[in-house]
Amino acid sequence: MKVTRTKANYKAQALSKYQGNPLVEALPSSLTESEFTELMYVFKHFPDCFNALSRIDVNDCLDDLKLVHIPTKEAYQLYENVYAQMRKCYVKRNPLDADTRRLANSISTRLKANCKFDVEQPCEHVATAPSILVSGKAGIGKTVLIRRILSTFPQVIKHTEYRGQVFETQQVVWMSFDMQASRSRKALAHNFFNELERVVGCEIKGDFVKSRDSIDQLFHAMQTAAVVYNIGLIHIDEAQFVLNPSSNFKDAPTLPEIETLFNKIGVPVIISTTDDALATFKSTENEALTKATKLQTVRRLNSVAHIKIKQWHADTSKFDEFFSAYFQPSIFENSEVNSNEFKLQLLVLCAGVTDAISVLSIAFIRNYHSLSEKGKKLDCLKLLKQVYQTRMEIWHAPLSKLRKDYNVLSPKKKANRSTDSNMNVAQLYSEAEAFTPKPARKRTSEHHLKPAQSVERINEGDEMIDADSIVASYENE
Amino acid sequence: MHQVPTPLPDEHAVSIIYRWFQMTRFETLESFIQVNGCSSKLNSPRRLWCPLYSELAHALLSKYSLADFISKFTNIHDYSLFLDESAFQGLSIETILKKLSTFKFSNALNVLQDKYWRYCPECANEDEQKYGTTYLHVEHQCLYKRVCNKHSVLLEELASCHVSLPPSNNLSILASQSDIEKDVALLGWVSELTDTPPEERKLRVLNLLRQKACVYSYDRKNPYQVQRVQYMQNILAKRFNSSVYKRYFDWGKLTSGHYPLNSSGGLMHFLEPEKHFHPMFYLMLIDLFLTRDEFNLSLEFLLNTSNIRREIPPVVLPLDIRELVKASAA
Repeated sequence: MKVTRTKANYKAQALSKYQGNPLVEALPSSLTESEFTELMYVFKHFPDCFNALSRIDVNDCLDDLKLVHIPTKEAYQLYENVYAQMRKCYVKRNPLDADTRRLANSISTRLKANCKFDVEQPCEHVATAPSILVSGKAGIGKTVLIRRILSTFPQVIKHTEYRGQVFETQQVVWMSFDMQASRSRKALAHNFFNELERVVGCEIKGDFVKSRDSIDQLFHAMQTAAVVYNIGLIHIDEAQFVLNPSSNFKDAPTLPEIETLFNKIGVPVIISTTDDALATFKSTENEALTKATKLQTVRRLNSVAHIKIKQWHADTSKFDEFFSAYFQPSIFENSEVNSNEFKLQLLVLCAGVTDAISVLSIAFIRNYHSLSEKGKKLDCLKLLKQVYQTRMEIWHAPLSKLRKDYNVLSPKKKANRSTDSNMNVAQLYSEAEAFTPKPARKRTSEHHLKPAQSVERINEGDEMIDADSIVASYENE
Repeated sequence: MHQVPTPLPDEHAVSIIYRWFQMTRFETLESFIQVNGCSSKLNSPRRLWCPLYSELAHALLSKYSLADFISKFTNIHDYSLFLDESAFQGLSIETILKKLSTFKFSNALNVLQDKYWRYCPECANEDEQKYGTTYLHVEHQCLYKRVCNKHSVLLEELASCHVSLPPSNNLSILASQSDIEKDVALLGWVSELTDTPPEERKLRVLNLLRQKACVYSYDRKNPYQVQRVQYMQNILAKRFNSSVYKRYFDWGKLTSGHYPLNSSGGLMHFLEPEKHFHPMFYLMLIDLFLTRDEFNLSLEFLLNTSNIRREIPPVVLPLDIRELVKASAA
């Protein structure tokens, strides 16, 4: 992900508590909902000469569809929270304030003194910063959404002078890193410093970390670096790996540790995780596994907001926009594709999961275009199912699991639907499940809570199916 | 680029570097400096330039040119008061700074000089309150100052040959009127000298001192000259030994007849223009033996640089031998 760097451009603040703080004044002005929504939309329109393009060019255009983004209402909620928390926390960490210097000194003293990292030990002068929890099904687009929102802020702001005084500093507005790659505490620390080095663009790890540092020192070093580089917000992705640690994952950092790492020095955290990981808190399992009481963990997880990213549902204007962004009128005008049945089938097959819809739609369009070129008359629904069966073979099991709890119709509009349409929908579900192979043997311990490692993830890998083979099989029908 | 701390008002470069070091994993300042590719020590204010300052100057380049950085964040201008800048002519600034980083004043007194970083306890308390940290001020490191201008208290020193941030809870000692007057007198001399072209400062001063001692070329066979120089040495030793500045410079006790004043040419050795002694040494000689009027009078004559022993006509009355005897016996 490219790092955006800008020079500080200080803006007058209406509220007096934000005045005189270069870190707040340098933040971009907040966006209204309409400005934000306009900024978030990403369409990839096919060129007018799409039908005349070579096969490679067509595939290229179709690949670009992966970048399509339609913001939902949760996006602005999250943006508002991010903006408000970032600004609020910078107020407590004004680098020109005496208290911030004292905070930095006390943290760095602990770093030099080889103190033990104590999750309960309060950090001087700064109140605990908040956490924003973002949850949703795997592949629903949480990471993309959060990173797109964070991208509305420059990642690094370079200050040189503030109010006539030299103020030569870099402000790292946000950082995002993945817990999947941080399976141990040490890995987390090195992951953090590698990302910070990438963002600031120079080698800084040596200033904070020695080769044989203990975990305690690494955590103190992360805190010091967060203060020195004025980090505004940290996004921790794939947090299920710390929320739901397994016995094979003993050295994983715990949530209280992560919270202490950043929140206690006033850096707000966005934690994004799958719904499955949150199920831990509903169970009555032994609390010792999570290394903190559940109430404590839940309180820390979402001290500001819990934003749930929902699956797509039919009959919503946002899904229609999303659908039109893929199935563009230039190719699909007056096509069966625009029927409600096709949309419902697409949603049911993909269980409303963004990534699955994207992969299936792109594979479908590739085949549709290829067959159309040969002058075939197409049964779009049949083609969709066939493409699903071939292209989504490894996706099927996790999607099938999701489908059990997924209602393709928008919950708000469901009441208005006729019994007939509900019956049709039921049929679509059973058609989708028709691809499920019979289990070789019965699985046991279904009720057993799965550890983080085995939380099922939808493979987001590249296309592996040769489009020609699908076309060939269609022709044989 | 590394994140260097934002300089605080009147903060010395060494203090910024110390605060930078504080925010790192390094346990000693020396290891931090070494890792940054420098071998110089920052043990005393007379260390004119440390290569790490270059990195700091580079980080602040958007606001301060290198020249501005030197004058705002270091005391180089105080220490280069008597340095012959012609030695640096034609050299690039990098080469000059490299030379300065290894530069050492001649140790004529055979004692350690100028090894303490100074601070004002009152300023330290105020800084802690206002900025959340204490720090070393450029103004307090001025080699001829021992009184804080703002609080009129005596400057305290940090541990010998060691740099750190000042403690914030030390009690201060009020400066006496004579301390304040001494600072004012020396400041007056420095202003006077600063207005003189740099290449002439030392030559004029040494010439006037020779006129005062009435020895232009020392002849050890001339008993009159030998006696004059010995009396001058006695006065010099006495004034140095009772100097209020001694605590900052850690001079050993000077005794006439003992090294470095063990020969009657000791004083003459100090008055060699080619030698570079600590600037405080010259300032003390000036303060001991010259008046501002005499110096101003000498400025009316052009300097004849072809003969540095007799550049200007005699404008200073030589010390009367009877005065020297009286002063020496006092």
